[in-house]
Amino acid sequence: MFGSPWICRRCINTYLKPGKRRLLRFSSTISHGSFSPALLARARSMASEHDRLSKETSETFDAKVSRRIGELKSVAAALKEWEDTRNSLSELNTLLNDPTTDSELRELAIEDLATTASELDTLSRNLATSLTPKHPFEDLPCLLEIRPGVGGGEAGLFAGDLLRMYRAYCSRKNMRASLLKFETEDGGSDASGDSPLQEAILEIDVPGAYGKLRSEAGVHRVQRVPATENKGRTHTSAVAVLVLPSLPTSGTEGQEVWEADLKDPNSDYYVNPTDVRTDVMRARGAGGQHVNTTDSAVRLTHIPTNTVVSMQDSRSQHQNRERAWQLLRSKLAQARREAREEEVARLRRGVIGVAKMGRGDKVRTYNYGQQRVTDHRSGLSVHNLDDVMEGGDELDKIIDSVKTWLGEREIEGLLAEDETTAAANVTK
Amino acid sequence: MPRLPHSLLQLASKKSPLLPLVLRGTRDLPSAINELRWLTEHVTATNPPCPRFARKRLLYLCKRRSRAEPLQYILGSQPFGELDIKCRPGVLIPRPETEAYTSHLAKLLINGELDEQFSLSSEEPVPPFPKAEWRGRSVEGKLRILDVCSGSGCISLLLHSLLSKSGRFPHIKTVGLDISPKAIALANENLFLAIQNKHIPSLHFQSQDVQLARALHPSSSPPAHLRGHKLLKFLASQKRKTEEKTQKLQLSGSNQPIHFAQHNIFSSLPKWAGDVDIIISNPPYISCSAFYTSTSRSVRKYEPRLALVPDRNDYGVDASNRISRFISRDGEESDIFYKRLLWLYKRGEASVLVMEVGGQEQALRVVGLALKKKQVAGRNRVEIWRDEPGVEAQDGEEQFVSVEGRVVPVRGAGKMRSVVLFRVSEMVDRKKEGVGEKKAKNGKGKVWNKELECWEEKNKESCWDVKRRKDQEKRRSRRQKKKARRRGEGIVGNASQ
Repeated sequence: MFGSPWICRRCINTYLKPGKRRLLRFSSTISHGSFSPALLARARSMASEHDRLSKETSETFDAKVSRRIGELKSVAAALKEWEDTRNSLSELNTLLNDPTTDSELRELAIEDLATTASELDTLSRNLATSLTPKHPFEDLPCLLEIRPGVGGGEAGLFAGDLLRMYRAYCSRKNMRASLLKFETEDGGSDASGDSPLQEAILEIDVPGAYGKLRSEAGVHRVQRVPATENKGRTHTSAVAVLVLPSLPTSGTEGQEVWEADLKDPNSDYYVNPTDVRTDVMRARGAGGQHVNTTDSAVRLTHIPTNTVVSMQDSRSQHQNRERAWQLLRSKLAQARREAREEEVARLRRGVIGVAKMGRGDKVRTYNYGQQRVTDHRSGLSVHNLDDVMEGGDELDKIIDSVKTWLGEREIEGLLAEDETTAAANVTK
Repeated sequence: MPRLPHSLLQLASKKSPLLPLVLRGTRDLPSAINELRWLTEHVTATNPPCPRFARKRLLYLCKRRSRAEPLQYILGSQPFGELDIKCRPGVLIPRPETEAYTSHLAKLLINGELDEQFSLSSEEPVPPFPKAEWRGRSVEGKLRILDVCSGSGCISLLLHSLLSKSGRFPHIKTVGLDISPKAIALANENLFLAIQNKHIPSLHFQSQDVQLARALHPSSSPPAHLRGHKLLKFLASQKRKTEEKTQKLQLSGSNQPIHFAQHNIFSSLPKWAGDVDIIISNPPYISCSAFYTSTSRSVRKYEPRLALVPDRNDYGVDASNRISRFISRDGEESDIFYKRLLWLYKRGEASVLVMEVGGQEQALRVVGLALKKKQVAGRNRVEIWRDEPGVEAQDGEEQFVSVEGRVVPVRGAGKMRSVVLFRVSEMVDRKKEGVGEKKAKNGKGKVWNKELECWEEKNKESCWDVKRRKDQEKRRSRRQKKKARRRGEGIVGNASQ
């Protein structure tokens, strides 16, 4: 009677619904081997600048120029190696394609081709990393902050596990780590005990720690049967990890920069005095000798951004004015910095697409049921959860993979910036 | 005075039990909050021995404030620009408006916007002064400032500190005149304070330091067995005291960059008083009727009337006074100081005159007074400055007024606060010539003539030289004609007899 055999409803649903798709990764760790022309052009221009500068400084010495040369040196060297290898590869190819080559030579060439191709792969990766700009805070020590997210007590417990993991990792890597703040939910502040964690800040006081650990920032997801669960269900909770560079608080150098910045129109701290309207409390009535007022309030309004700062702490109007200017400068500088960062982030997000770097999305999953750790950015899965949680080599592997992934994203971002500037130049 | 509403007092007492007291003095909640904070800061800063005493003291200060005593008198100081000016009953408290136009004038001088006023006079022969150190002109960085009615000395001190800090004017000499001995004493104290705080460079600072060091550490150390002897200690302290005294005397001496002197400007002034570059003044300008209607309670009750209301009797201006001839009886009594200042400005060779005024009506009256005098009107740029001279005018504030058929620019925002006269360069030329000739005719300008001759010898081919020769020739011919006429008359007379 029926044209088709009976199938249970569940099977039909799974068959028809497009909801469950195979996991597709849109980002990959495989480098492309060949470069986009824009990036290559960038590398070439940097190399040529290096040559020019080194030729110039052969007679005279300038500290600034030599520092720039040091920056460009790695790019120039990497580009040279890469080009050599590529030339040899193309030579081998022509040798293979040439019908006149004898068989013995051909075999040798085929052998060489395989090694050269793999070499080219690593060299191109090297070139890419040398091209990526160094993060400005790379060399600084860092603060690692762990806070439980959704998931209640289980999230707090897992936050404690993560803290233990990072401490173990740091001790294995010989990085001095000290606990700045440790708060559990029941108010205890000692690191022992099993009560859920509320907030912990780990200070890693080693130069370069920020560069090593900055890829850890994000939401870490855990899937496991928690200790508090009595029915054996798997829970999914999240823990947020924040990594902040710990900037040096004192230092005369910073002060000098501040002083110099005030006069430089390109700096963040520069405010054009004509853009600012100053309002002073004026005496009511006739003013002058008729009244004696103690009003010393000063209000500054930055007209283009409509930023208002008012100050009335001191009896001296002069002092109030100075303080108000200082406040206005720092406010505007912060706004400008944020706007710039937002602009860069927008540009990069447009390129990177699905992969977001903010803490809005999870970056890593710890699945206890499958004994698996997956990083969603690099796409690397590791099936040795215990080693990871002890801060072992497996964690190292994950962190390295994320770092290479970050480097690639940055290169993409650079490319996009180059293209947009090129487009802007064309339209001009 | 309107009553304070109950709701406001309740609101204040909720914030602090002392706030209603301060509110009675200020009549305004936000400023009362600020003033209470400053009073508390003042009490904690003066280090009372115990917290109970501090509370008592704060209550006492707040009670004083509730009787409308000015906060500046209670705290004993008022910030004025970058300076801190001491205040004491009997001397006018510096006002923020005064600060605004003083610092604006300093800014103009530092930015070189008034250079043409001074640079021109340098090319001319330098007239001699009774005081040797006043010789020289502003181009070499020399500037002479006269502050009439100096009061606490705030204008002189601020102007001096701003100008000397800029480095453009290494040699500034300032003289402050005031009728009140209290004001002069306070001004000297303020000068001492400003020098201590390094706002004003002291000519004798180094030597003072050396002297002080010598006083503290006597060069010949006493023998070991006498060390710690009471008599020696006493002698050392005596020595220190005398040193301090001499130090203070030196400060008040004329060698100092700023010199405050007690003087009634309606009595005869020394000759050099006119021979300055800048005259600046904040004279009393409130009329008798306005004193009772428009001044605030704290001003009326606590500030000196002498510094607020110009009274002919207080300043000895009456018909018998020789100087009063220059001040006509007609016109407002509140303007007598401006007449005197304008006379001083006209007579001397100052290039800038800044006078604080009470408001729009008075400003226009003063401009009218200035323009009535032909010598002043033709040779001067007249401006009116508002409360904030450096700021752009707001809506509804006119930027020009016309007085006596002349358009006078009004700068800044706020109420009209000061009248400023700048001598215009070409006019200075003509005026000086006129003065020189007059003096030569009167036979009083002997020294001037000597200087002139020296200068003429230096540049013989100048056009002035030619003109002068022609003038002399004319005069000579006139004299000869007169002589001839007299002779003729004499002959006629003889004949008639």
